Amino acid sequence: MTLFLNQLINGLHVGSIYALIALGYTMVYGIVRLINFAHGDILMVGAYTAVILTTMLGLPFPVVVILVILMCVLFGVVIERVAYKPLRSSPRISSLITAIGVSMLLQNLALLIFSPTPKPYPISFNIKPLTIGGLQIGFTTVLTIAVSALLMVLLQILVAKSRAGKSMRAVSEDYDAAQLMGINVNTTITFTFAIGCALAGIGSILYGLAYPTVSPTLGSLPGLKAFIAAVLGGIGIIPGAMLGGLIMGLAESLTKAYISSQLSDAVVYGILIVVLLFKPSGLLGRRMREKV
Amino acid sequence: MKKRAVVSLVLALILGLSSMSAVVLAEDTVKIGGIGVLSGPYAVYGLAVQKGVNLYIEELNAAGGIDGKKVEILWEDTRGEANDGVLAFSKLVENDGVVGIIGPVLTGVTRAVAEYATDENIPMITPSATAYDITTDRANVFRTCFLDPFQAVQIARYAKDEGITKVGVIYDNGTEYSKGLYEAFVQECANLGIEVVATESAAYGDVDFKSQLTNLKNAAPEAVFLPYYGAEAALMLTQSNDIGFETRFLGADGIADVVDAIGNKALLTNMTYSDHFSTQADSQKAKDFVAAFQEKYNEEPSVSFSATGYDAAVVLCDALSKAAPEFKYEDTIAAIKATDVEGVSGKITFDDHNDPIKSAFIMTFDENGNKLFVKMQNP
Repeated sequence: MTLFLNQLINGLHVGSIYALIALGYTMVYGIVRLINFAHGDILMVGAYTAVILTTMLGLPFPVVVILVILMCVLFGVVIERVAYKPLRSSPRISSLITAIGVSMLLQNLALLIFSPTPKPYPISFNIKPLTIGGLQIGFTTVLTIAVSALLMVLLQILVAKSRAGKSMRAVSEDYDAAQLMGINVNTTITFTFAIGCALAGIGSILYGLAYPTVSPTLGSLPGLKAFIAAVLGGIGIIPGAMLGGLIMGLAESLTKAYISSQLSDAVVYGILIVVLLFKPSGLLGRRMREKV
Repeated sequence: MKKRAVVSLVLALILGLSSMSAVVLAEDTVKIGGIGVLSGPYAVYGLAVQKGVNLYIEELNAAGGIDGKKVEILWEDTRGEANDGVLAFSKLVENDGVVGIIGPVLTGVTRAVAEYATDENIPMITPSATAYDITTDRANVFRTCFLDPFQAVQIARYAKDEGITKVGVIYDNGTEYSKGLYEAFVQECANLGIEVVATESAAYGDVDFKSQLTNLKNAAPEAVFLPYYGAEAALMLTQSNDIGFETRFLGADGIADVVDAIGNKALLTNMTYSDHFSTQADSQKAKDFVAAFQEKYNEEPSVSFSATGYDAAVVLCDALSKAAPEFKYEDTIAAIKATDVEGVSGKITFDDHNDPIKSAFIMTFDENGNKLFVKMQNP
């Protein structure tokens, strides 16, 4: 039983990180109907920023956290303004291609600047595993699950109660009507990107603590899985991203533990296919009916 | 019609001139081909080989080269892909006309290139491909590193010497290297009476091993065999520490660069592995090599393939000097077969399977990530 619970917790750990990244995908899709493929690479940007700040500048941990988040937000906002904004009135396929292009640009820039040799993630906590109720749980695991849960709650509050959140919901519901209502659409969109990237920044730190190897392609696999998590839960729906992430994490870990590690990805993607067959808009998605 | 004639005439002229210029350039250097993984996640191994080989070539040229001619080494990058390796081979043999090849570096790539090398019957020495079947029935392919099965057996014997009776294994059945080591290790454990209490596998390219490590922890082994490269090993050591899994870890030569990939170096004191070379080796040749390497590259030859690469160059150039001045493939191959030289990683002779007869260095780390020589495990 302890073993099963341990594996369950492993799944929650992985799932929490996927959920954090998936939130970025889902919020951006909700507001501008764009799948920002470069979002996974923001994770990589955060990781390398941490490497530079810690190893070259020797800054203390709290400062590094803040600067990593700021750096990710900066990247996200700049990318949005430079690459996505000019294409808002173009067909959706153009933005999609641009997003893929930005992703490749970031990866290859990192390849050029940092070389392909993986570098160790410089931040680690040498704290003994905690014993909670008879289970031994690693400190990083507890930290990740707790921080993710807290951030998701805060995000929900932000979106539901604050004015900025209201603007986000309005723009994602009806872009033109929101503009007519006097909402500054550009600011709202930039704000959404900023929040998404800030979450990715925190995600990069949690990811680096768990998987302390940094390479230019660090973001592609988690990015892909997070995107699938977002779709699984219902793309554009915030609680959906959280649910999707956790399901993906649990499915992956439990498959690796009890079935076979080879099949873990197959099982995860298989769940996605099955869910979409029966509920195409995702688990929490609503069927969008066009009212004539 | 007239335009077509002019274009084809110009093309013919260009082709004719270029082939003429190739002939006009005198063959005043001895060209050797170098094939290795110089970019990508495994570049550390290819670059280490390149450094060792280039060092020897430089020393040799300073001493007069082969038969009075300078030796020129032409490097091609495989990026770790078998396809690129084969393309590199074609270019070096057909375009550049090399008389021998050093490399490739990775087992999977070497296997692919060896096929083509055998067709051409060109001498090829790999400094790092450790799978057994690479030299089977291939008279022209040699290696200056010991084999995976050999390493795994030595590690199992070391475990037995240390009094370990229960081991766990986690391996990657998506790579040749890992799978070969796993099979040989498990077989030797059976011979020595060591019980394998848990076996886990991880898919190629994975980063999250917590599920498998949790299962291993549950089986309480005294040591875990990790046939991986440094990048994955670093992740496993860190994650084991995270879940409170305290045990000894055993690895093979590919794990040596874990010190570059891991953040928490203190975890490395639990890792013991087999390697082709140690910078703490006390032979004169080894010491000279370490000093020269330090001077040229401003760093220690920390990846042991620099030493085996250097030795591959030693063996090939020694054979080429015997096959001078024509450097026919068959003559070089015969000379390599009869090699009896003192390399920096030990005395090198070849057995019937074209594998070198030499020892394994058992190594570990101190808490700062510095390599510590434990003992020589002799066959």
